[in-house]
Amino acid sequence: MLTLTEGKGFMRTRLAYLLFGLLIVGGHLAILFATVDNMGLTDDDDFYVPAGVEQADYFAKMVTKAVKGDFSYIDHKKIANSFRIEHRHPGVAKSMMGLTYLIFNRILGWYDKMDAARIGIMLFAVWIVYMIFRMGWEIFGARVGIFASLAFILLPRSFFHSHVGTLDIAVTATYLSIIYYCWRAQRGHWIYIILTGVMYGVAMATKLNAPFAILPMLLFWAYRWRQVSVLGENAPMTRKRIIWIILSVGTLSLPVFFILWPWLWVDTVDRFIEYVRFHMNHYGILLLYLGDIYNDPFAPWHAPFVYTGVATPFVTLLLGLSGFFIALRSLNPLYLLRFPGGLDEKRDFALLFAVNAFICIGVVAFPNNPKYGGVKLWQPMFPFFVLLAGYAFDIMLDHLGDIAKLGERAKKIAFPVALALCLTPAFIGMMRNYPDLLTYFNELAGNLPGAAEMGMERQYYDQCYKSYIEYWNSQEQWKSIVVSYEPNQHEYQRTYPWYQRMGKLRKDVRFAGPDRARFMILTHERRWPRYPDILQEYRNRKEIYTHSIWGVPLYTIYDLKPEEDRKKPPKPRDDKAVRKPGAAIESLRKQQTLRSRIKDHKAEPVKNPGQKQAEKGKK
Amino acid sequence: MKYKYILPVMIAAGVLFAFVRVLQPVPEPITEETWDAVEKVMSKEAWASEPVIVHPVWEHSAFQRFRNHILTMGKPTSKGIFAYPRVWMVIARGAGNTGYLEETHKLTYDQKIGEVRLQRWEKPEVENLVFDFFSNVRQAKVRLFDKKGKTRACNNYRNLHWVCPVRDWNKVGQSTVQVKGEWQSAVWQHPLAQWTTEARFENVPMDAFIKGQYALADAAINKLPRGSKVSFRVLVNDKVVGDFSTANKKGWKDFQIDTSEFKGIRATVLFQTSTSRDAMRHFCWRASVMSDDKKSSEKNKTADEKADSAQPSGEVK
Repeated sequence: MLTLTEGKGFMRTRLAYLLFGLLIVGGHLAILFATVDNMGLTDDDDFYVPAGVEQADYFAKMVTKAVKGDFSYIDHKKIANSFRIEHRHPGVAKSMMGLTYLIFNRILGWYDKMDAARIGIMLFAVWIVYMIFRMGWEIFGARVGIFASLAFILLPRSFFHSHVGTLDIAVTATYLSIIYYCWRAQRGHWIYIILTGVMYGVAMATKLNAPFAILPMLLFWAYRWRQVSVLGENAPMTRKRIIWIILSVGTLSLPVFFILWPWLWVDTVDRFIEYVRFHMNHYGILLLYLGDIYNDPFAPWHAPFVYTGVATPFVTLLLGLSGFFIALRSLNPLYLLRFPGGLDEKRDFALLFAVNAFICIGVVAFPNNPKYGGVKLWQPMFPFFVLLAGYAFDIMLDHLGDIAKLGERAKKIAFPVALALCLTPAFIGMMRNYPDLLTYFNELAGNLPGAAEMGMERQYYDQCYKSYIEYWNSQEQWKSIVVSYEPNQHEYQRTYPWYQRMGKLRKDVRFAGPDRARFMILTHERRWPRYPDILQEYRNRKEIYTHSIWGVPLYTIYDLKPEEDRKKPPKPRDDKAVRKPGAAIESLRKQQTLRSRIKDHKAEPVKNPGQKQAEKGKK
Repeated sequence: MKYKYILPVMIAAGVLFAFVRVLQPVPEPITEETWDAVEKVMSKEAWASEPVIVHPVWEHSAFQRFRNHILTMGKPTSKGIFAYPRVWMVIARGAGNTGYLEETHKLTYDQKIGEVRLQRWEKPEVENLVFDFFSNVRQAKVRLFDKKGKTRACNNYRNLHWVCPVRDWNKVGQSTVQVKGEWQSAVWQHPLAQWTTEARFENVPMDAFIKGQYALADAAINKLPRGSKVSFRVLVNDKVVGDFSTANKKGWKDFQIDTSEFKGIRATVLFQTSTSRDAMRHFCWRASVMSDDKKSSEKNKTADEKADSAQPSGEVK
């Protein structure tokens, strides 16, 4: 189906389709690029980006050699060396990050290492919007295509994740691609049958969520099989085609999975077992849910559903749930037996999307898995959810037209007005939390203040803050700033230095333990059991800055040693002095002059580390 | 035809609701005057180190208030707070569910002050509380000693803990630990092999008994299910009054020590931990001096009020 308005010319429809598609997909890409700098780095960026670079290097070398007939890179030792940082997860997302790093950083030199690698994930996000737009428009109509793709762009948390150098948006894209090609394969060119199988392998090689796509696909093919019995030639696909697609998935997916993950090229069985075993026994990660901390035991099954309920813009949530329940009507056994009314593609695909949405969140919710990181683990659910929201939006507009007896012209105006009304609250909410979009909570939760009071995580993912960088860059009165970052310095001391390497954060901000630090940054992350103790310990210190969104503090900077400002300006650090020999001698001269003034002073002058090292070297 | 109204009406209501909520202004902080008034009441009514829970959780203006109290923002994540016999609560606009204390405590004081409500919640046994060791761990003197009489003082107080000099994980202080799946507040006193770790509380008003609990944190048992036993001793004026030993089992073990022979005097109370092998011995405890009847508590109170100013700050007054 490719219609903007019933009965209009094909060319006009085609033009509108291309125009809107280009506008939405191109606009999304431009917005992602424009905002990449504001989306703080997370602990995953620090972990997966270097892993991606390492893997891309491996692929580049391996392919270059293989072209010349040299297969020495398919070697146990070389693979082990190239997958040192990370081999717990398959390689597609990481390789993509590595690839964009090679192109945008090493070859073109347009972006720094981190942003160049993040472009890989941004491209996956754009691919998601493209598929939503196409499926929405072509299955349900123009209104759904436009609404669903815009609703996805305006999911604040998904928008943030679309920049993060990790696997969640990548697996969302590859999972959705399976369904996308499955849809294209039911009638289109035979290449789509092959692509369905290939894409299943690609998705498997992205993250562990993807193989679960087989469940809704099997249900869908069973559904189609039944339609052939009832509808005969009017059925949307033949049984032969169903068998071909199943064969394609069955034969192509596993080889593609293994090809894309060189880690499995050697010790295949052992490493595959290790991979499955790791994810079957995944360690717990802290989650604050309704005021309680969960780690071991893991959070209850309903946590993902409640988190989705409070972290999705309310109108999108309402429409998505409406679409979901409307779609479930098709599960009525009487409908499934007879398909009264003949073929209804909208209804069929709404059911497929509803089943997919439920499976994507269900595989995290129902097994005894760790649940953490807000809504990140079930990101693959959201494209289906916005498509269902679009489906309900479309039905709502139809009903509205019938009730109000709207004419053609009024119907045309009703669509943009309803679109704006439904999506503007999401946009406002997003802007009010920007750029720290992981703090977003919807209107139902009472926005961020209501959700924080409800006992939900106001931040997670050890996210770096743009405001933190700007704050230190503007504090010229302090030099050599030593900070302690609680309650989880372990992660932040790895991520913030990226900004220093990129030249975005001044170089003299460094980390130390709380006893040696001048400043303490306390992130108000209540999921850390130590947080109340740390707040208790430091809250009476001199507070110099608190970053709040919507009146909710996200982190506070305490000056632990304000008395240092009253002292003399600090001397340059010894190691710096060593790098400048003249300065080192000058400081020693001053020390000696000072000491010579002290009567009866017989002790040896204090040596700086550089001097000690020089003496060691002489010995 | 009627069902066609459902979706448009529901979505229209949703849109209206969303606009109203998303445009809500940033909440105003509680005024200085109100905080001053609350603190004035607290200074008369509350004992030092009693927990104060502030709702809503984001009320940033509370951070530098209640300096002598344990401040908890929002519903406590540590179940240890619920173990306190008296808990104060400040409720301001924007507060959510604040009724969770009803399960363990009884509301005994409720007053509106400015734009907030100040409440006091008490457990029945509050009448008998004389001294709480957990709240006063900062007043403790901590040291290590071995069999040969060698002593090392742990006098570096950092992050709510007295850190001992031999190994940096060997420390004594207020911690939040997971015991039988629940996060709890207790005194962390990890023992050190070949040494005895001792927390010494001086000038403690004594009464009928010392009541408390001890446990190994869950992580200790999960990671080392056959770890060494931890010996936990309680001494009053150098006399051993309690000698316990942990088993590798999850959960709190209650103890009650009869201290009636010291009733009415001020004594030095020692808590000692030791073990033969110290790997993963995440030991913690909490304890209070309790009277056996309301009258004796009252008596103690009068005695304490007359006592010199050197008394521990967290003492019941």
